Amino acid sequence: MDLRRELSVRHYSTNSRAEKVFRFASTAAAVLASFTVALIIFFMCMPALKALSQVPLSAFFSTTWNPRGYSGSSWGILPFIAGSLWTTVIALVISVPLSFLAAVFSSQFMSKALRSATDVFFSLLAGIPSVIMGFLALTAIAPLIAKVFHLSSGLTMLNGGITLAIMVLPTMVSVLSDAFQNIPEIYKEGALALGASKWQAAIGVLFQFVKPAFISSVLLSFGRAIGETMAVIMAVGNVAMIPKSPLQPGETMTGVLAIEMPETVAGSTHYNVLFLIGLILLLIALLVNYLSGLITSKVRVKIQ
Amino acid sequence: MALKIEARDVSVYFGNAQILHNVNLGIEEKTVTAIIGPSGCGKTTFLRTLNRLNDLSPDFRMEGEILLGGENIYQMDPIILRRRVGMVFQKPNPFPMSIFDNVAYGLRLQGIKDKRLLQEKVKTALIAAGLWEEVQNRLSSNAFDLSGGQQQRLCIARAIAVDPEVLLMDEPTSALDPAATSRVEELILELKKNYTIVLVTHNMYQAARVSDFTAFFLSGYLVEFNKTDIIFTNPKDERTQRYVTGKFG
Amino acid sequence: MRKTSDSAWVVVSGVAYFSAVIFVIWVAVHLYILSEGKLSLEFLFTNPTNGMTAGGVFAPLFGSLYLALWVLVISTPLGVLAGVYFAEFAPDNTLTRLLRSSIRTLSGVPAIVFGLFGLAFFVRLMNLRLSLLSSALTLSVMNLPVIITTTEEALRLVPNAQKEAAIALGANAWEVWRDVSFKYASGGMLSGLFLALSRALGETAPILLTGVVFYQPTVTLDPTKSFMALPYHIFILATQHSKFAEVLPIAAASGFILLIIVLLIRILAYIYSRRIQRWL
Repeated sequence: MDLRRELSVRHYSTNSRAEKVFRFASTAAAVLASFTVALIIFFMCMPALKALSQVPLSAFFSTTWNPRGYSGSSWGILPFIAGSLWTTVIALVISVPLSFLAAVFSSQFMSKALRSATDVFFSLLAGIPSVIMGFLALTAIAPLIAKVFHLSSGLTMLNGGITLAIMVLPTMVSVLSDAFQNIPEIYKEGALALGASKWQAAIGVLFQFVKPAFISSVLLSFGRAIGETMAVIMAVGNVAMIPKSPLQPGETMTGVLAIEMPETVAGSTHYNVLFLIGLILLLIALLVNYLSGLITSKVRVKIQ
Repeated sequence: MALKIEARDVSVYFGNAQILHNVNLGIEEKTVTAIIGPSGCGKTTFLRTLNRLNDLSPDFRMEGEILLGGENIYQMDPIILRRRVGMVFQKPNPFPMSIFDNVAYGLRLQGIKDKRLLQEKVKTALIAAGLWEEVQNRLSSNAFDLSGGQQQRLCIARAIAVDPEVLLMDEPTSALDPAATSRVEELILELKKNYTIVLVTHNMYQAARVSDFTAFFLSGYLVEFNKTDIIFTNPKDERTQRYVTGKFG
Repeated sequence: MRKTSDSAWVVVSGVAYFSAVIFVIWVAVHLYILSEGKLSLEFLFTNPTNGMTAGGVFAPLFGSLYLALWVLVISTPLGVLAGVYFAEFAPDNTLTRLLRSSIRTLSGVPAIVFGLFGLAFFVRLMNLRLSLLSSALTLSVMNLPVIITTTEEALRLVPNAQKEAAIALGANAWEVWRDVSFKYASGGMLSGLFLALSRALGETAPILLTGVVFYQPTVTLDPTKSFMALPYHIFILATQHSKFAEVLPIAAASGFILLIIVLLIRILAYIYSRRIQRWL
């Protein structure tokens, strides 16, 4: 037995305590992080469920919202659902075709070098704080709308929609552009060989490949737009009534939460109803994200 | 001569696939044992069981036992095992550190902090790996600046710096040019004076040149194991015969 | 015939693409113009005065930066360690998939809902009250998915050969991470931290309900007190101030500062995400 070797190999440290701590800490962190979403849902449910016991369900389906009414409160949340839907749908109507066009341009007609130089701008666009977007909606877009449509104020659903469209554009463009780039060259070349112009090839043949990414990104953007707060508040005028046209003001679910919650007494009915609205908003956002993820994973399975 | 490594009825499974079937093999101390066979025959898998590197794969399962110096390797601390059994990989993989830090890495893992001791051991290892003269004046430069052959010799130095008893080498020259290859082969002949070496190679000529014993694997079975000159001049099994005379290649 | 309509499409789609590029620049320019020269070093370092119609943005700026510091301190260890777990230790089973989807779900939660959660949980249940700490904790929860995902992705890119080399020399999981993985993944991880930082500075909704106030003249390091923040400051000036025309330049100037800071951090995040670190 080589004693010298025996000693040198066996009796120095093995740092195993550091490793045990490392493993434990990382596992604990992962569990804790994963647990928070359940925590959030739970803490939204508690006051929301109280609201359901304090206010009859039918009351929520009214179009009048007046929590501090003189002769009793009205809890109609329809105006906010309408407001959220108006702004979100307008946002998608504007941004979907625009992002599609931009994504096709980026993936088909740009050289790799130029693309990597300008792609950073989309990341920056996505990074503009919502307050700044709201400020823009207030000071630049609203006056424009007022002028074009001869309104006294540009604070309208349209204003909110346009602002949201700008905010969801970057994500949609990057998802679609990636999807377009992932199409194998043979299909593109095949389409071109049939005599189609580059553009027609893109729309006709390639769209089939990006359909799942397309739907998924639309869903994601829906979730993002409906959950956006500050920009929308500064854009839509915040009047709690159902807008009959895009040129009317309104209020979104996110808006009423941000505006009225700071003034609400904790534990009151008003407080609980606001949490109910928050819960509805959360469930919509989660549902939309879930569907979006479902579509992307279905594609992954198909490819395998 | 004592058996340094003994594999007894070793079978290896990855999930449902069986990669090795009942391997029985005894490796003698301070010899070079070559493991040869066609691609996919399980040679690398067998090598990696010897230092429990296969444990890293999630669906790995082993039956049978492997003894190092008489001790079951699954009854010892894997960290200690890997200090006693070093490994050199197919593609040179030095760390993104200086040459000195690369060689000293294993020593520092063991807790050796004394500067002079480290310098002494690093120098010894680099000399033994035949690299000292080429790098003695630039120990603090980046390991990636070395050529492929030099990087591999650096990896050898790194492995022997911790004074292992066994050195596992997984096709160590397959990524090197002929000049670098013969340097490493000379090195192996030198190293076997102090270490037990197990060498996986797909190059039969290399096996014939440097090894004392040869094991021929085929589809996960150990077909034949004997002194190298017997395997290459008078193999007992027909399949060995076919492989070494180039029918399998 | 085909050629002209084709090039028309190219032009149209090109305009769509580049309008995004131009927009970013236009925002900065628009804010700068509206600020009517209020921007100066003095502006950065003096407090708002005179009912916000004069003075600078020192208190809100400080508050935002200090808040961001706390957010990083809280969310970095938690997020990085969780990312390490998913990249290195998580077994391939249903529980792991459940944990992963929880994190993904978390990233879909709207900002204002985080605010509501922060209000119910940190402010009220944990009795931290309206404070910088409540806001920092809320923002930290919001940033966890970003940090976790970028950390995990960065770790997955570490070459296996490097890790095996360390393990074959007797390194344990901690040592492999410390000596090999961390070096290769640090660029990607840093990128995630920068993204978290940019959101901590720019988000309003989560802090709205958990601790930010409009006027807090004394700048303090005490996290149990409420605080001022730049995005909220801009919001109030733009929407609720009685003398809108007077404060508009100040709001624009504050917006410009916020925008530039956030965009610079985002550029850093972008640079670090592309760096392949081979030799540090």
